[in-house]
Amino acid sequence: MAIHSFLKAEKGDPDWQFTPDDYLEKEFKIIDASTVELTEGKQEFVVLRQAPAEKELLAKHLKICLQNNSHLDLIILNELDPKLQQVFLYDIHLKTGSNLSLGLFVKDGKFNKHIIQVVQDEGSTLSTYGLISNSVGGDTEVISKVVQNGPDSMSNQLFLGVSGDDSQTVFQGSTLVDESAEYSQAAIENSNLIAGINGRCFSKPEVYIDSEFSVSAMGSETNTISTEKIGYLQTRGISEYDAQCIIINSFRNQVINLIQDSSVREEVKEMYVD
Amino acid sequence: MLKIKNLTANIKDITVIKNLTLTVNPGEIHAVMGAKQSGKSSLVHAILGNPILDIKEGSISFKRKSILSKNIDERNIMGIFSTFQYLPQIDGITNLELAKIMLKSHKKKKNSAQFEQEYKKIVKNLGLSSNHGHKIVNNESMTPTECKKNELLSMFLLDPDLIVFDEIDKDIEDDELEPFALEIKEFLKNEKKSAIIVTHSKRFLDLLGPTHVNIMVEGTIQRKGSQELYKRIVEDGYTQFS
Repeated sequence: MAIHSFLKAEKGDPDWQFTPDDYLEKEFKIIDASTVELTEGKQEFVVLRQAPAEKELLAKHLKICLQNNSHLDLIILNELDPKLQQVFLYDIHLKTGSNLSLGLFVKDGKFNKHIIQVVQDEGSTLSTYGLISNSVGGDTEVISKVVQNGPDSMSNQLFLGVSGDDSQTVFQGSTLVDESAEYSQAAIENSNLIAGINGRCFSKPEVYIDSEFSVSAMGSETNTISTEKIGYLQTRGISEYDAQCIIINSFRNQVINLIQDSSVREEVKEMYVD
Repeated sequence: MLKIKNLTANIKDITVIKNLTLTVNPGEIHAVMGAKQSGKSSLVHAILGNPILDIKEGSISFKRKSILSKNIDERNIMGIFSTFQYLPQIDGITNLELAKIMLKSHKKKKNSAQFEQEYKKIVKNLGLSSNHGHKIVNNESMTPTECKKNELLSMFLLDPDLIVFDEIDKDIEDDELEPFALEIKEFLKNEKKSAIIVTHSKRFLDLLGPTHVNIMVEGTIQRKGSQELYKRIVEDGYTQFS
């Protein structure tokens, strides 16, 4: 799939299904942002911090290639100014026996779209997780397209979304287990919390299995802040506002706590403090 | 301590409490009983300040101050503690974290070592596991009895003056009910404390020994009496009061 197909926002294109109409027919100018390549058998832990300042409609292209039996623990932190509009493209290839753990934590922006394309070879493992959040009246999206080409490959996607007042989050995750990828596993889990008035969370997880002896799991749920939970916390002397913050933070922490490195974990928690 | 006078309250235009009067003095344990839909839970919500209730008439005062304009958390900080049959799971937050937040809201100043020591002591006394503090609040890693014991843990930490138990005995395993009730009884030994206990369980009441029994029918207290009253209900049911 050509990466440039994402750059023109066209009505009817499933990748732009939930994007606000304002962005349709607009073209994003692509720039190469960076390349991460791991040589055979190597292990790395990398944190990428994206806080772009460009005001034009840019699509930043990040290439990640993991050679055979390499292991990358990558965490991407992205906080976008409420006035900015950008697309981030992640073009990922996991070669035989490689392992990628990708944490993607995205926050705010007027329009903040992250498109993750992954091709997996034999015996590779993808574990991607993260938080999609917007509370500034904008739209934050994560679109993932995973293709498992090799046998014994495994993919797992876990994304949470939190939308504030007049804000929107989108998670469109798809995994295709190709005919050649026998004995593979694919899972997608998405959970959303509508935390503000007129907040919206769109969710479209899809898993397609074309191979034999493969298994899949998929789940999605979207909730508003439970008045029952708020009331319970208030009966412990916690104010309504603080109770809401606790519920939102504890929801976020379910995925933030998956970050192994404690200093990065605290940095991410700090990033989401309102 | 708690004085409810001529209270009438609605939920969505349906009158759920009608001209109800109840006084709870320090040292008193009031059982509130009644058939389904008799208004027991509505009475609890009225005491707590649940905004679902629209108070039409009457007054509620606690420690001689009107609390009608106070919201749920303000009433808790004044000293009203409540606990329920169904307890919501609070994802992503541990029992210990919640306990710390509660105490912070109550401005109860304790240094970290002091707090940890007190917390561990209560956990042990209640027969909870040593990793209880690290479990997520009311999630599936906790048994129903553990969830209810966790409510008592909060009660001990906050040290309230009035405790409202709304069918807390439900889902507690049979062999755990007695030690559970004895923990409550021990707490209520302090003559400044008082409690309102909503329950259908004779055994639970036998263990707690209420000083007063109130029978609710159609949103009001139809009959007041002593322990003999709930024993009669167990034998003859509520129809005798309708």
